[in-house]
Amino acid sequence: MIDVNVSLGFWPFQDTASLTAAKLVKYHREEHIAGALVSSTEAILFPDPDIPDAALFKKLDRYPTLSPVKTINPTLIGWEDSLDDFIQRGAVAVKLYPNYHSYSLADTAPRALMAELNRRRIPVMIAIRIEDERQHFPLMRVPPVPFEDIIELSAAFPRVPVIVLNAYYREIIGMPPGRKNLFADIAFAEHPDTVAEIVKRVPSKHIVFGSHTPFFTLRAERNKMRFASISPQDISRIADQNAIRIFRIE
Amino acid sequence: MATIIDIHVHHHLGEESTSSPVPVQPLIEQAARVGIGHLNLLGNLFRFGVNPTADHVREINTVTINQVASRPNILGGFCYLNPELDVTFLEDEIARCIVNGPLSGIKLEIDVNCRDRRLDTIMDVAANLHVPVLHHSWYISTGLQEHASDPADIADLATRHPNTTIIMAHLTGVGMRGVRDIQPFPNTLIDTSGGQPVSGMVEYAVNRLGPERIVYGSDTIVRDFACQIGKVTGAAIPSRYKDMILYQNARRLLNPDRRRKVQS
Repeated sequence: MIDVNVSLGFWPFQDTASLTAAKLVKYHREEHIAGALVSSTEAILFPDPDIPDAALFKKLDRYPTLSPVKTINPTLIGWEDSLDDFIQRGAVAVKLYPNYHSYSLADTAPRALMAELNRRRIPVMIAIRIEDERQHFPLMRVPPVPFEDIIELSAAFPRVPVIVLNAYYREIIGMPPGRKNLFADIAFAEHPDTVAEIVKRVPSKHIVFGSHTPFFTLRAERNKMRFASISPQDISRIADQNAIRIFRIE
Repeated sequence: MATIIDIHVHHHLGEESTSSPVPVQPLIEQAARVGIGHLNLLGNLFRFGVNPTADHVREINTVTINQVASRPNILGGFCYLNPELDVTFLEDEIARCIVNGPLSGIKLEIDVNCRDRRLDTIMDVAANLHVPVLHHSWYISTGLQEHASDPADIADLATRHPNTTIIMAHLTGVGMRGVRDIQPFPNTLIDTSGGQPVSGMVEYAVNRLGPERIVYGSDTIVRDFACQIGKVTGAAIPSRYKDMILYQNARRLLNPDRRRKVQS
């Protein structure tokens, strides 16, 4: 199994900093997870994501099963150099937080980034949210990224794999059929027999396993797959085959 | 391992007839796959919207009674009440559902805030019968519903009724502040139901309240049994605490030998 939605680092409203890369690898062994895509939690709020990302990438050097993901804020001057630099350091994908970085996906800057990702054939992950809106710290209520904006972006750049992270069940089942480059993870989705219900409505080739570790309990997320009443083919696609194809994992 | 008890299950949310055309069997089978052998049904609470009439409350509870009666080894249930209604109705409904019926506790939702003194009769009867009261609660950043209760309200209720066992619902929803709100009240437990599987919350509640004051619940039919169980089994706490949370504490609360019949 490949977990596409993991982060390491400090978050002010939850004890996420306790999870180290070493502990993460240990939990993965216990939960039969072969690898993960990992971004920096601090890159969400820190004014220059390059700084926490540099620390993260250095940490992950020792852990071959953990693949680093670069957070880009395309409104920052010089994002092109950041992208170039971190691709050379081994970034397998780019992650965007339009809501926390205060831009719309319709703006010029993210469009320019998408054009560059298209040129370089790099997938983009867009986190709709970090926390359930009902639980936000009252003085820091950040609205979710509109799903329709992500759908439109995926249509505008059909050759760039767009992976939506942290969408609710009702958002995922609203994904337009036939959009080849659009994918969603299951971290925030929940329904009795979550994955089976999703797969009834969205082909499994568009779904990936993402746990939102360490914000969410890994066992709970892993259980969604462990007890899903779906075919072995669907399990295989969601567990790792889709991620291997999208992120060109060897 | 002994069978897991899920103290917080709704079947179904939405419109249905009194005989429920939506069979409960698929839910039982899904629960069994993850080791849950006892579902505590809390009623189809929003079938008639907020603040239902006496007839509506009676209909909701009749469905629960019928379901429990049909599968008493697997299903239990609580009597849902709207404290806005006449005291005589409330007492009669408790008698119908619990004293003379198969239900083993009381469910309160968002119809009346729990600081309201209209809850007092319900709480006193529950104490006399030795049955728990499971009360919805949440700290919501997006704005609480008009009469909904938050954990500070539950703490007020616990202060007024120290002899009534209260189960405050929704550990993730009440958060750390909510856990601290009820920490001083040994008569108040918390269920793990609902909300995302936020890490660290079960561990926090164990540290603050002790494992004996936490009970597992899922909040199905809006949640996934396997995911909600994983909140507990995936927590960094000793196995014996997980057993307490998953079934021992609930077994103690729902033990019919604890219940005392009201002399008519």
